[in-house]
Amino acid sequence: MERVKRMDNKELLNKLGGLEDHEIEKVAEEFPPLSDEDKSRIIQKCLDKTTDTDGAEGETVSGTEIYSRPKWYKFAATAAAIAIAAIGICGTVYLTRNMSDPSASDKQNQSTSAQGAAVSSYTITEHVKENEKTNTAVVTSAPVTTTTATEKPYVAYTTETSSTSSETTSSTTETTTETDVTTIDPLNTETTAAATEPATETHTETVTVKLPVGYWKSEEDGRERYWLFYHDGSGGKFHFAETGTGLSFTVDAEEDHAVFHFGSADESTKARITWYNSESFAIDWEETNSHELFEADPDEKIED
Amino acid sequence: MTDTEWADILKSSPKEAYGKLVECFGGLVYTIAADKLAGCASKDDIEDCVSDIFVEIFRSSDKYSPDNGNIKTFISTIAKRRAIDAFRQLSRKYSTTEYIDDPDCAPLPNSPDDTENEAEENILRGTLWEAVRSLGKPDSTIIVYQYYYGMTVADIASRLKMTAAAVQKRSLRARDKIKSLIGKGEENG
Repeated sequence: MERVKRMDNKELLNKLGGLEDHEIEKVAEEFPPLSDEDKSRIIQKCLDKTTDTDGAEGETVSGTEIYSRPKWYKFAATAAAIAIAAIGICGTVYLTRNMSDPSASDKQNQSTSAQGAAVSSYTITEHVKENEKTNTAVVTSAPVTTTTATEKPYVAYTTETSSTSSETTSSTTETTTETDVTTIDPLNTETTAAATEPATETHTETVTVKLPVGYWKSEEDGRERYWLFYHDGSGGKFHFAETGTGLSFTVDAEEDHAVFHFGSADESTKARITWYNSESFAIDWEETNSHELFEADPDEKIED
Repeated sequence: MTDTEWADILKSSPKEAYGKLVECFGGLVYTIAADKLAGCASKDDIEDCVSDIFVEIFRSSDKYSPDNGNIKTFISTIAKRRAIDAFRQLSRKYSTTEYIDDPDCAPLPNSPDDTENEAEENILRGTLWEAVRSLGKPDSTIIVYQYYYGMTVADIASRLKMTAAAVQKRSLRARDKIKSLIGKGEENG
C-alpha cells in the first residue's frame, strides 16, 4: 500500500467510484442523494426535454405549394429551339453545297432539259471588239448540252449576249462577230468565257436554241421528208420520201432561232424550233411562213 | 408497486410518469450516474445525466414488458449505458488527455487482463468505503456527498443544515482520518 501513501486525499477519495450494482443500491439507500428540491428540479428538466423533443418531432406540414414557372421561360425555350433548328438547317445546306463535286455542279448547270450521258461538248464563242476604247459587245454561244441520238434528240445552244460600255463614249454601237470554237473540256469553256469578260459594266442575256440530232421524218402539205441531223449539231441532210432527192445543210444557232444553210453557206433560212416532247417537234420556216411537224424516225430511212 | 403497474405508469402522461419514476428510483439512478462519472463531473453534470436517463426510460416504455424482467433492472440497464455515454462526452468536453511522459500524469487505467491490479483496486475501494462508514454521520455523509456525488460544500451545508465552514472543517478532518485508518489497516494487514 505504498501507493496509497503517495496519494493525496482527493485522489484517494476519487477511488470511491466503480462500485458493483448491489453496492450502488446500498449506497443510494444509505446516503440518499436527492432532496425534494432536487427531485422537483430533475422532473422539470425531464419535462422540458420531453416537450422540446416532442415539439420538434410534432411539427407537421400540409398542403401543396404550386410552383409557377416564369412566363418568359416558355418564349425563351421556343426561341432557342427555333434558333437551334435554323442553325442546323443552314449548316446542312452549307455543308451540302461545299462538299458537292464542283464539276458535277457545272454539268448540272449546263444541261437544260436533257438527261443522260454527255458524249461531246461544244463552245461557240462569238467575240467582237470593234473599239475597245468606246464600245464592246460580246456574244457567246455555247451548245452546253450534248446528247445521244437515241435518248436525247437535240443539242442545246445557249447564247449569252454581254453588252459592255465604257465611260468615254457618248453613243453605243453593238457589233457582233461569230467565231466557232469547239472544245471538249467544259473547263475550257469557262476559261474562254473568262478571257472575254469585259472589265466595265456588263449586261448579260441568255437564250437557248435546241437543235435536233438523229433521224427524223416530217410532213408539210402532204410532202413527207426524211431527215438526218448530225450529232455534232453542225448540220445534216434530208430527202423527199416521194422522189428520193434531197439536200445537205448546215445549221447555226443565232439568238433565239436557228439558221439553216441548205446547199451552200450563202443560202440562209431562219427557223424557229418548238419542241413538244422528246419524239416530236415543229419548225416554223420564216421564209415560207410554213409549219412543218417532225417525228422521230426509228426506221432511219435516210442513209448516214 | 408491481411491474405491471409500472408498465402502465410509463405509458401515462410524462408528468405523472416522471413524478413517480424520480420519487422511487431517483436515488438509485443518481447514484449510478455519480458512480460512473465519479471524479469528472459536477453536480449539474450528474443531474443532466439523470434527467436524460429518465427521458430515455419514458421514451422506451414500449420496450418494457413485465415478462422480461423487473422495472429496477430495466431502469438500471438504461442508467448505466447512458451514464457511460455521458462519461465519454464529458471526457472529451474537459479534454482529459494526458501525456504519459508527464510526471503529473495519473497512472494508466488497468487493462482488462490486469487481474492483479483490478483486485488491488477492489480491495482498496472496499477498505475506503469501510473507512468512510466508520466515520459515522454526518462526517461519512459529508465525504460521500462531496467525493462520490460531486456536491459542493455549500450544497452539502444546505442539505445537512450546517454552515459551509463547519462542513469544510469536518471534511478536512474526515479525510485525514480516512487516510490514517487505511494506513493503520495496512500496517495491521
